[in-house]
Amino acid sequence: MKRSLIALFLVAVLTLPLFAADKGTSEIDLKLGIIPSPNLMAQGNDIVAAVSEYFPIDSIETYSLNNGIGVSGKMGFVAGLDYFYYVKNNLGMGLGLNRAFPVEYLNADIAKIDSTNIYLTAKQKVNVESFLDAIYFVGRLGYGINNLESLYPSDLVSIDNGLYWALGIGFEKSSILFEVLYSVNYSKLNIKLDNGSGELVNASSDITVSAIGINIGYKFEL
Amino acid sequence: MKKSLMILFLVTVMTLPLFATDKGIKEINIKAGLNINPTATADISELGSVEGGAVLDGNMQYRLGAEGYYFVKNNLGLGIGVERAFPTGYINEILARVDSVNVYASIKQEIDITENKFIDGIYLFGRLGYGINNLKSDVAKVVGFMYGRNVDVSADNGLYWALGMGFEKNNFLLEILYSVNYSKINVNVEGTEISTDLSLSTIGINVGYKFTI
Repeated sequence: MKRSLIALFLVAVLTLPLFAADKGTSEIDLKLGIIPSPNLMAQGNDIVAAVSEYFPIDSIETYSLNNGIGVSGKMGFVAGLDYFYYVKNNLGMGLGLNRAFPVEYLNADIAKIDSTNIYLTAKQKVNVESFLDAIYFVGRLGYGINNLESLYPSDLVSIDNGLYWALGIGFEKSSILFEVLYSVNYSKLNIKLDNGSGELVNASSDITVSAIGINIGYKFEL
Repeated sequence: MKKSLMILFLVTVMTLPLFATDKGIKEINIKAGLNINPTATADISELGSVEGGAVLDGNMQYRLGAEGYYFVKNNLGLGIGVERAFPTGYINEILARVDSVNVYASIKQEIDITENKFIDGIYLFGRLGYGINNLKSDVAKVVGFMYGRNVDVSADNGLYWALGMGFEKNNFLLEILYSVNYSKINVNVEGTEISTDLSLSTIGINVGYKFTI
């Protein structure tokens, strides 16, 4: 369902240039970036539910953990590519793809997560009269293909793909870009636990990977 | 040590206008805001072979603040500010409630933009200062009471910094900023203390009003 919606969205944007009466300019942006401190969060109530299933103690369920708890990761690296078509002078719509290389959470052998994100993107420029050529606001909405490498075999511990979004601010000077982005990948952690008598019990929790990223890029005008 | 450095910084910034040959514009900004996603990260590397931190999600947090700027150049303002971040719960209100008062030196760079019907100006700003942090835990009190021990949980004061961007329209301000308070969490059980580094970070939004003097 989610996938088909995104596919529809992508088709809509891809065909958008065909409907534009006034042909605008387009650009391709190449980007490299760092994610200084990504956070991997799980929903507290999911954890309480999973724990209370595994350890059937009544009192555990009475604790309500409305917020998330999680772990911080080591610095991650990102490489990506965006295509923008300017539907208005300062408003670009486009498509993008990025790869967030594996990030270590806790220890490399415990959890390493990487994502490939495909997204629709919009860029609103504001022209400035100073040392910069322009400031822009950028938004992304798309789908993230997430992958977990861990100590445990993937049939016992795995994560789902899911929605990806990002919001950010960028600066342009000549053809050089500098961006600061906040991004979130929604996923689900699926675990099979041995319940003590040799049977495997399923437990799952919604998880999110959120990060502030810093990108530098280069813009090719077409 | 850290405190005295900070005071020196503040004094320098405060007296800076006296040394400026060209008297510039002064402004006072008042601000109200929201911390959207307060996140507390506690260092847990000492717990064993794990690296990194445990992260707790906080509830949305309200803030109030005021700043004074003196423009040393046409577009460059230096100033001081104070901000109160009201108590907010992490994971659960009864587990940990944290609030801060931040005093800081601030720098604001305005960027001239081309005539625009939506906004009059854009600016970038940075803050560096000192945060007075306060932590309360009802759970610690209850646990202490249950086991008949004296349990005390507290947070240290520490460095505060923020980076952000703002928009101006008819003296109204809209800002988005990322801020961090460095602290230390101390758990004291009957005189035995365990401490670990704690940082409180968040993305925040402010609305404000600018008075030009």
